[in-house]
Amino acid sequence: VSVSNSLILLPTVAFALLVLSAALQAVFLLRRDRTLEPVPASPPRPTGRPPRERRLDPTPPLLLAGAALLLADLARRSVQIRFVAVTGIFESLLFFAAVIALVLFVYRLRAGQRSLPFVLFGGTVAAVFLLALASSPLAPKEVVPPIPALQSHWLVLHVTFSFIGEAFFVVAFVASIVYLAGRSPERRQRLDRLTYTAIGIGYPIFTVGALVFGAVWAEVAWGSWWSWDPKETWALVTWLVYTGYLHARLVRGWRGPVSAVLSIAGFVFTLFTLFGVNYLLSGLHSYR
Amino acid sequence: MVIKFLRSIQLALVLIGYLAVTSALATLIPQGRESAYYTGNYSAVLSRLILTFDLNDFFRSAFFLLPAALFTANLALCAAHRLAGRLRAGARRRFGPDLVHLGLLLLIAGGAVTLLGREERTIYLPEGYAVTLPGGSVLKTRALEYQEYPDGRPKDWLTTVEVTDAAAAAAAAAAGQGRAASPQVPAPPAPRVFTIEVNRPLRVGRLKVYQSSFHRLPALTVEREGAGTSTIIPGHTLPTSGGGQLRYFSFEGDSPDTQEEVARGVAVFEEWRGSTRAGQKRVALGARFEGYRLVGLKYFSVTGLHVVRDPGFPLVIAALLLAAFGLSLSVIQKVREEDNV
Repeated sequence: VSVSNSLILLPTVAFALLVLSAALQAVFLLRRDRTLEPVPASPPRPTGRPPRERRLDPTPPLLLAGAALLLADLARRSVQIRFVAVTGIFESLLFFAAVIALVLFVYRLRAGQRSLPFVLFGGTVAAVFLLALASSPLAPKEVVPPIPALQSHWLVLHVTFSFIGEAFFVVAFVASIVYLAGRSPERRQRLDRLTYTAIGIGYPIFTVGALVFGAVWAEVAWGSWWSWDPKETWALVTWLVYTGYLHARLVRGWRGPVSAVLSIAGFVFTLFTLFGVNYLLSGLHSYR
Repeated sequence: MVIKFLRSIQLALVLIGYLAVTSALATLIPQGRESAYYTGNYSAVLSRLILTFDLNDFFRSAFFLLPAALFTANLALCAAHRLAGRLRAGARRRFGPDLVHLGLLLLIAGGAVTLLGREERTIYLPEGYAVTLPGGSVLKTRALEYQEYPDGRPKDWLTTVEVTDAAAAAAAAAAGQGRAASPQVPAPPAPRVFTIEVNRPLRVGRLKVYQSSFHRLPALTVEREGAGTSTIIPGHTLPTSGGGQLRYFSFEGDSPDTQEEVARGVAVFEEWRGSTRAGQKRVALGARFEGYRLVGLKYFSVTGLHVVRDPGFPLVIAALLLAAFGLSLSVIQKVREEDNV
């Protein structure tokens, strides 16, 4: 294995596992019989027909294995640079994809048969997309130690908490898309509920990570806890959109398509904050 | 009626939308540049629009500050109303959002204190130089160190300083003037030694000193005929016999890591007549020009330290802790709700 190949061996295997997971999910989504069982299997439903052989759902182990490999690679890179490896764009994408896979895994296990297969599929595709982006020339893969401003544990907290919060926003985004595309009232109600709970969990984590830890890091590094830097401002705008979503939902009782559109808008802002600002606007966060 | 409108969720949503959209748009326009930048880089209509509506300094303009103030009033009234209602009803749960609202109000207050009371300046010091900080403490550089990775990228900038606190510095100054040289007066405490580096600022009373930059400057030794020698660094000027000025711009030549004398190279000067740049002059080491002679050149390191006093930051920290606690409570409740579905 050459040096360049060894740099991306684990992420490549993780990518393959997640692609496999997405492909298997797509196959099952296209079948009429979607009875997949997480471990352990639940009792069969009384259908009057003889019980069919239940299949074991490969999605959770594939998601978990993909996440584990990505985190293992980040651990390997961390040992090499003697710092938590989340300071580069490649490493950030790996971490984000790993957290999305973990969130989907936990959701699948907790929801069991009540899980919404299109949401799982969409979330898996999002993780695959991030890894594809990581493999592109936009994300340098060399293992390089961080420059002085990035050598802060506040930065590590800032990045990791932000991505954990945003992983829940991915779930909310996919659920909102499926909601707008769906027709069954019962299923749409569950999707609406899933969007709401995912944002309800992701929002505080994102707030603490992006805004609170970010402000503390900026104060320690530059002596200014807020600078109206483009990345800061876009993180604030993203936060305002989700704040608007939660307030509209909690106080005004907004549900349905408008609520779903707001959730989608929030995720579009999240994506621009993550990638658009880095490549289109310059500022304190212009690290590649 | 007015109060009801001011604390309404409709107003909150409109203001949140306005602040989100305008803040996002403001990031597309470079902030804080001179007027000439906008007139030179944008069309006449657009540049007039930017300058008329203060979009070049949007976050300090009335178009941002007034809606932000209205949002603060909305948040305060809404939080007070919500909290009073819960206390009246004797409700024990769901205090998370209230704490978040209070935290945000405190954060806005901290931001206002920072905006009005923040003081900062950047100082550049070579090794062995001292400066008196606001408040009277004296900071003296002991050692400057620049570390880099094998690939040449910066690894760390370190400035080791000794800090003499204000009282000791005053006593030392008085002793130096012979007014407090009494055997009964105890010797002032030894200076505190600290290494400042990026992400590791020094605290001196209410001040914080940050490592902000590191430079190696080419210092020219210049001899004026009949008037001795002087040392200049880039940015310094030399008067010429014709009434103009020569501004030392840069040096092109050897650049050793050590502080040895440089043997070869060319100094680049800009010629200025009044506020007009008249041309450029390139002078080799040892050469004569305009009544001067370039005697030599030596590189030396200068550390850039950013001194900040921000009375709003403690409030901000308290606000962030309160908001984080409130958000944690909200999450716990949300997870429980999800479990019960």
